Amino acid sequence: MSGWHDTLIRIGVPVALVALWQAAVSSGVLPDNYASSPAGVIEALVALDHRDLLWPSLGASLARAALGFVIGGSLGVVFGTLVGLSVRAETVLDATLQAFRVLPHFALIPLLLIWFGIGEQPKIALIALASFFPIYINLYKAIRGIDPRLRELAAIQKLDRWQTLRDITLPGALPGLLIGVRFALAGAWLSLIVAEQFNAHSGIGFVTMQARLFSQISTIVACLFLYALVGILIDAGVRLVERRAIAWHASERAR
Amino acid sequence: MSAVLAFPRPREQAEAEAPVVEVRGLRRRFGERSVLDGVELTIGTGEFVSIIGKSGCGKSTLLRLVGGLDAASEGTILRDPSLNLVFQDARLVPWRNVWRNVTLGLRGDKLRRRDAARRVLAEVGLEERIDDWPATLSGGEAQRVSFARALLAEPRLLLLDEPFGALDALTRIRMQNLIARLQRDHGFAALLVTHDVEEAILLSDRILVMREGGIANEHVVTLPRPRHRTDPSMLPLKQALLADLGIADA
Amino acid sequence: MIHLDRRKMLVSATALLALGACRGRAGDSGQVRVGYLRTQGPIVDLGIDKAALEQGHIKLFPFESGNDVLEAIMADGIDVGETGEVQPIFAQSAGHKVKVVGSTEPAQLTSVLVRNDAPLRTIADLKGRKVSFIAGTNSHWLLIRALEKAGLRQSDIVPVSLGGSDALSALFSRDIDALVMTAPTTQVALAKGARVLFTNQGLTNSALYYVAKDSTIVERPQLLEGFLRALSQHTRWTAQNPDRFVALAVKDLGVTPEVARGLLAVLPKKLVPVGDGAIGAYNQRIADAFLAQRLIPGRIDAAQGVSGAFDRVLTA
Repeated sequence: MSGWHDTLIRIGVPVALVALWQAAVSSGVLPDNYASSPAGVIEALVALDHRDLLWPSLGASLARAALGFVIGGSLGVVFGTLVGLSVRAETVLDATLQAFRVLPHFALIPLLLIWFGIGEQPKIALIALASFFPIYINLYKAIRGIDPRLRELAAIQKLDRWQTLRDITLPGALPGLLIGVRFALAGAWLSLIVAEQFNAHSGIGFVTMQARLFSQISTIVACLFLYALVGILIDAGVRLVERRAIAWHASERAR
Repeated sequence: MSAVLAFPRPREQAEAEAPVVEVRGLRRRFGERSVLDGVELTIGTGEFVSIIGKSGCGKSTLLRLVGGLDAASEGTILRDPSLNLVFQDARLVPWRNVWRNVTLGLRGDKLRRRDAARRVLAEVGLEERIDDWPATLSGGEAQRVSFARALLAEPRLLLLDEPFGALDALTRIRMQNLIARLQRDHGFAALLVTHDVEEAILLSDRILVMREGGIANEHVVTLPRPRHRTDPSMLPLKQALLADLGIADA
Repeated sequence: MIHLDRRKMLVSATALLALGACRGRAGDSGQVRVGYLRTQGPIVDLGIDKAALEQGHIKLFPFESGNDVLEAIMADGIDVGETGEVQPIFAQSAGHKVKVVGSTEPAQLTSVLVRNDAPLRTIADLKGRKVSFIAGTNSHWLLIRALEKAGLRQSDIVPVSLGGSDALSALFSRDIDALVMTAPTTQVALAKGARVLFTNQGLTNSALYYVAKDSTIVERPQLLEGFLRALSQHTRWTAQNPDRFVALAVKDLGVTPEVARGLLAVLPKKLVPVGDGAIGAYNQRIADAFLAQRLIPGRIDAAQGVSGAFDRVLTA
């Protein structure tokens, strides 16, 4: 019974806030050039769809984010594994990589424009940068953090290098990796939003910039809503994968 | 650092006499502190040896050195390479189910591996848990899976580091009976480190008392098997051991 | 990661609403909030003209571009703003109720720049090239007008949208072929190795407009009148004190004295009245040109977006 009650509240509160928002605008308490209204946002979304902008823009933004994430994430896995497994690799690589991490990567945009030119590349680069670090750090910490008793076990059971990697190290590092993935996806999506403010000709950011030109608040808020919605869905998706892939982890921690 | 050798195969020569463990002049230092100070030890085929001693006497360190998990500062260790270890914590891999834990490191066809696991799990009485996950097992069950995994390797030497220390009294009794039976059936030699004097008497052919990094005393147990906890002929030995440990029996 | 923490949501929602309510209406304090272009136009040095500020009860808000100024006007963040000639057109075409209440005289503020060594010589040479400009600004209008004159459309070039310094470095790294720029960035670019392909001379006015919402014109005309009068006098003040302007530009804009003098040279020297129909007709040309290339959604009557209500303080 309490499960239903909880769900009701979880859904109920945002619904109530949206209703409050609409009421505030309809009654004039909140001027509608401030943040539009739920009705205005829906209207704007429908208008975008009629202009054939809604789904193609979402698609373009998602494609950009996905490409950047795949590139940055893959590099993160490679370097994370390397540094996790080898102390020598850590000595050579880690300090340099960490130096880049503390740079606020949004501030690198002018440099990225110079290095990668205009067009898609600097945007993808920004997203890849944001995706790289959470995965790199979390994976290499996770690999280092593998229970040494399990590593001893691997020696006792006479597992060779590859078997140890496959049966002990990588599955053991998976929970940490997935945490890194969640943060990387969040960072990638945030970076996408920033990247799309620069010379975008497609995507939700482009629609936002056009709306700004014509001071169309409803469309701007609608775009923000789209950004937020996709961000939430992505995170929920990862948590689902997490639950499936590491069911053993949850029950272990519950012990 | 000393040379650590394995026995050469084949073992056709004098198999019944060749010891499974031979330790000479073993010393282990951690910086300034000396944990083992000249240990000599031989374990013969099928022989069950227990080591008892107060905390800090070095018995676990000795076991780990014999097991090859640590390197000696001085001395030589000869050990049978087929050895396996069972620890106080069951050390099951949480992301593998029971039979895949038991067959960790085993190569070969999946069905054959599972079948081999099934057989050894039957020996420890856990056949019906074959597909379950470690998180669903009790302490005793997990430890039994750990035994099954150790047995599957058909070791000629089994090293046991306080294997029942984390279990409740009743489970401990059941596990002691199990170990006695397994040793009788498989004939492996064993080196058991334990706090429990009764356990040592129940299971061992020889009991070594360690004190401050060395073996202070040795008792040969001549009681016939199967042994019973309530057997009064155990009492003198028990008192002797407690005296060795510096504990007056109330 | 996103937790529906009830209490947090309630608190932040309340805070948002409270913030909204706080925005309030200006002019309650009797001051007129003026948004201006920080690096172009006659308001650049208004900040040091204390007399004008006091006389007009002016509070200044600097912005980087005319589009930002327009946004602020629409959001009631300022009462009147300085924009280019295109911003009010775009606003009007989206159905927003704003009017041009004043204008500077035409000025040579906008140019199309290319690299010194580029083979581009005429407007027609831009065909198929990558040209950077900010949409909805004087730069955009210059490009459209120039292309029109050469028989081309915006679709005949590759539009790129980069901000000032990014556009400059893209030009020099050969990622773009041309960029449309306003002073003082033009002057800076010339110093770095760019060349003027053509200016707005003979093509567009490139004036700066003063824009306010209809509601402000109706409800608080005295504020707007006070501002325009003060600004009109200030432009004369600047003309009589060129060194003050140069010193300020060097200090606050971070440019060299040469660039500052170059900016001063192209700066509009006076304001002009807007109600006589000339601006209306000119704006109509802008609207029709943009409409012809489908850059704005619909036809507008540009004269409706101009108000001569304050012309008497602009004719002096």
